[in-house]
Amino acid sequence: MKKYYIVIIISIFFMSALPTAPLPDGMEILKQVDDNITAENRIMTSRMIVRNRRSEREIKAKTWIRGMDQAFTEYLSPAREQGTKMLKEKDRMWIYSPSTDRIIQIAGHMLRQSVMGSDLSYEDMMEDPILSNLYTAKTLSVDTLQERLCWILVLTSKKEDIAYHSRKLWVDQERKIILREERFAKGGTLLKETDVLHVFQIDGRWYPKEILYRNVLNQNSEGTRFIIESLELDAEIPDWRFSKAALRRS
Amino acid sequence: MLLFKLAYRNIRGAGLRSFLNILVMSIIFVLIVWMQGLYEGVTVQATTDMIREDVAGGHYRHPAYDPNDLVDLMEAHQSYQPQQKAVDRHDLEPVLMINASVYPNGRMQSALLKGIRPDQALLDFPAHELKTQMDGVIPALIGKRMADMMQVALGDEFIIQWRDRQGTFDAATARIVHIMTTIVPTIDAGQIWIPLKRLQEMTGMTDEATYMIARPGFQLQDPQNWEYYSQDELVHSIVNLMETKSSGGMFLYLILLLMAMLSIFDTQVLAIFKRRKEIGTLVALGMTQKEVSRLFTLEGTMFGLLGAALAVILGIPICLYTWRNGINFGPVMDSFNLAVSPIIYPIYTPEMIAATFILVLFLVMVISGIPARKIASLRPTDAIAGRRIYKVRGEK
Amino acid sequence: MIRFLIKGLLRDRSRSLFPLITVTIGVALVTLGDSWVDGALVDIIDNNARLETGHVKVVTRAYKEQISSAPNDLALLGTKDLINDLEKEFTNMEWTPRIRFGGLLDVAGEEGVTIRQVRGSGLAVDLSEGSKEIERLDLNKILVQGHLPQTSDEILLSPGLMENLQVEVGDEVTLISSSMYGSMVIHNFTISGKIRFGIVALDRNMMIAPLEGIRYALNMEDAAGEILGYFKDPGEYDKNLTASMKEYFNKTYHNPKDEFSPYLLTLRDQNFLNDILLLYENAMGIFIFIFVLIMFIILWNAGLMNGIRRYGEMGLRLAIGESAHHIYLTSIAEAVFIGLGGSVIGTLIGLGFAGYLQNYGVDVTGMLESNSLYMSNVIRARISGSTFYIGFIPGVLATALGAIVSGRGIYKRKTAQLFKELEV
Repeated sequence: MKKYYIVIIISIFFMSALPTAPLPDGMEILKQVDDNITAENRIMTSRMIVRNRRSEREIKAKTWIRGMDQAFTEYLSPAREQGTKMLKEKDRMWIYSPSTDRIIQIAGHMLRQSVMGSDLSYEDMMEDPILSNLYTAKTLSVDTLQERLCWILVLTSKKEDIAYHSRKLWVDQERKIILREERFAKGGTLLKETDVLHVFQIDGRWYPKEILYRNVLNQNSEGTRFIIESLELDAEIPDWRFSKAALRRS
Repeated sequence: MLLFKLAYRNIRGAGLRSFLNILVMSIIFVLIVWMQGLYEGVTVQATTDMIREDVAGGHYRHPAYDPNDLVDLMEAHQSYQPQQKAVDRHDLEPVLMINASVYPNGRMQSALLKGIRPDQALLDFPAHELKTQMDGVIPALIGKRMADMMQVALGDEFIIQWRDRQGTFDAATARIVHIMTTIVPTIDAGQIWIPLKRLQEMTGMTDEATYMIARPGFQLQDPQNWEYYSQDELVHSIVNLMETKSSGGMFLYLILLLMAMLSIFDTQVLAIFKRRKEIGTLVALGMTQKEVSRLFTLEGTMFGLLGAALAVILGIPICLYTWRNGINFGPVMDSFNLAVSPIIYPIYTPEMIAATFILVLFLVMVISGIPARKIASLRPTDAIAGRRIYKVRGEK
Repeated sequence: MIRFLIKGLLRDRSRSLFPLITVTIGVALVTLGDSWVDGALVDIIDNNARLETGHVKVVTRAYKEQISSAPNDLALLGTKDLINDLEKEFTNMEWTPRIRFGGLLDVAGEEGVTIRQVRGSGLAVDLSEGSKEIERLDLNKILVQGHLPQTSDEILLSPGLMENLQVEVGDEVTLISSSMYGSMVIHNFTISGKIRFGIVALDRNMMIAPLEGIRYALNMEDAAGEILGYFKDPGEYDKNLTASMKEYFNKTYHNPKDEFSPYLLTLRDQNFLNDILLLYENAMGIFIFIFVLIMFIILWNAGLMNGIRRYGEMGLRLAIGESAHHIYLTSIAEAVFIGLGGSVIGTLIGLGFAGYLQNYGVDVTGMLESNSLYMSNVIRARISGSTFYIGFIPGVLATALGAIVSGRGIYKRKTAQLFKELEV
């Protein structure tokens, strides 16, 4: 019995002492991740499930995305949100509500309000999705998540005006998709967590299918689930879609 | 002098009746003075504490800072470098404010983070408690109201989440190093005080402030982009409030005074009626009617004077006691949203006492003079005969 | 005998008129003072109940814990059923849902682009037909321009808001707020009127909207932040009654394990009203006591003087053989009649003034900045039960006491001296 232990201990010692393969460059991985999600035009329908202490709501939306700067979302259900539209262009955002026929720019402290009651704020949505534009990355280690081998990347912001100073990513080594993300405050406190619960493949690329967002500090929140129902890559999207006039168009 | 002596003797002679009148007068004096003292006490206390703990010599505010609308403070801060000398001399005490979220016991609440220098010298404020050096933990000073709101106690730790000047999130743990029992809500409710330097570092707002507290008497020659709010302006609302409250009380004084007047008028009318023979005699002895009239007026006024004297005897112990020990109103005062402690110390100013006495005595004199005027129109012969002064129906 | 005495009083005006006037004025003053003090007290209860607290209020426990910020995400659900239950349980009460809300009011310029935004705080009340909220909030009175909302998309704004938004009655404003589920909501309202509360804090940024409109806007169908309960007869309000209601309701309906189960608060549980009212009650009690005491002294004094004034008459009556005892009793009886008469007239006059002050009040403008008491700028008197009898206590008792004390002199008088005294 004793021998057995010794064998194990020795083998562990040797294994850790073995020259491990050098960790790949973090920036390299991050760029691959970015490339994976980059597509010229996308059309997506999604469901968002918001849970709080007493209710669960499901919000369906259709989103048109062009490049990184333009996005247009139309809410399909529930009935009272139907027809509400949102336009994002670079760092500006407008919301249109059909019942008021008003286009309101979301700015200032309104940006901090939650989107449809979820754990995501408008500001989160405004963020540049190309992480390599905002952060420098370093590969920290290797980990296994959801039975997939992952790199753990640590991202530190390049610029000052970025909401989250640092992030930690779990990137699927093979599929180049983020499976888990932690967002940290400047001082290192964990603020938000994102877990990719399911993934799917389209045109040879892997995409997240279901994502769970959580605000870690707020213990009253039970998280928001975001599910992609359908995704069309490199679709034809006319220019008018990303104009303010489109907000009023039904 | 003769009149004076006579009047005094007459009053003494009337015994119990006079005493009752004097008693009423004195109670009214004491009541009015005492209540005014109380109002004054609340006002002065509210304003002095507010001045001592928050206002000092006035504030220089960033133009975008509006205490009534604190939802977005991100725009309301600027550098005080042009005023650095005054800040170094502690003539100005910069305060920086930002919005933050706090998570005591994992529940999100919004709060105002306020930075102040621990060695500030302008306010009676326990900022020195913030000097406590701690391993990265932010020392936080809060008031009792805020402690109740957050449900935290001394030594408790909680997470604060804020954004720096660029909007980057940051969060850190804070520990409550002191809970102050202040009566000034403007430095307590919804607020967390931390060292100014720390807040400036946390937000990247080096040498910036939202407002600056001025030393009394200090004035910036060139305030530039700082808007000055004088001490008077800042405590104005409280003084206003107290004036409203005391004006409601004025109506009660008025009724009290009317009662006293009624009592004296009553006494005067009956005295003149009863003593018409005496009046006649006095006139017959060579006094003019005016003098007699004055005698009676003096008698009436003397009720007031003696009432005042009795009020001094009665009032000094009462007023002195409440002045020394205060009156405890319990937690009520808190709910008025005023900077007032539960124990109110009335303040009796000589001016107020003198004004009350002079006003009341003047009224008493006027009131006692009205019935006495009738004497002047009296025929001495009628008076000696004891005929009515007041005409009876049918009489010629 | 009584008729004889009354006739005497009526015919000899000198015997009755002056004491009567004194009693009347004194009693009127006491009555007025009492109604004034009562007015202050009732004003606090009433204003708070109508505007904010109700006589009782039902909220969820979670809401209760953060009641000052009116968190609508913790609102009551299924209010229709709850109100039905409440109506069955407490038949003497009326229940009405209200929603307190806040948000930005936004005014659009050309092409719907925002030109001005102002933060406001609002109250959504049931303005449907048959609702008593209009009366309760005195909306017709505080409406200074325009009309009350007739559809669910109309809103009333305070002068401060209208000024800051630079809008007029009839204009459209957009409310940007947050729904019960936390999502941003945008809803248009037409300004149907301007309301002036006469309370600085409210006149700055208050708005009143129809409950239905706000329920729709905030996605709060059949939900409400608060359900306020009022006695059908407001005079029935009594702190002990509400306290027992609270005990019963919370035992029956509140589930301590469910933070969203309904919880009943009494008026005094809210806004520190218990402490404030206790202080007022005590202070006012002392004040009224001093009032009555002073009046007592004055009337006693008047009684004394009245006795002295009629010294001659008493002498004559003794001289012609009336017993001292009888004279003493009749003088007391007379005093009682005068006291009664004076008290009745005085009370009526006092009530007249009090009634005037109840209806019109005294305006003490220059009001406070922030005070949850909602004291209005107009201080009013209030005629209550005690107003009707408070004056009688000093009025009758003091005059009688005056006669009792002053009349004792009758027994001391010697018949032999009477004629000498009566020489005229």
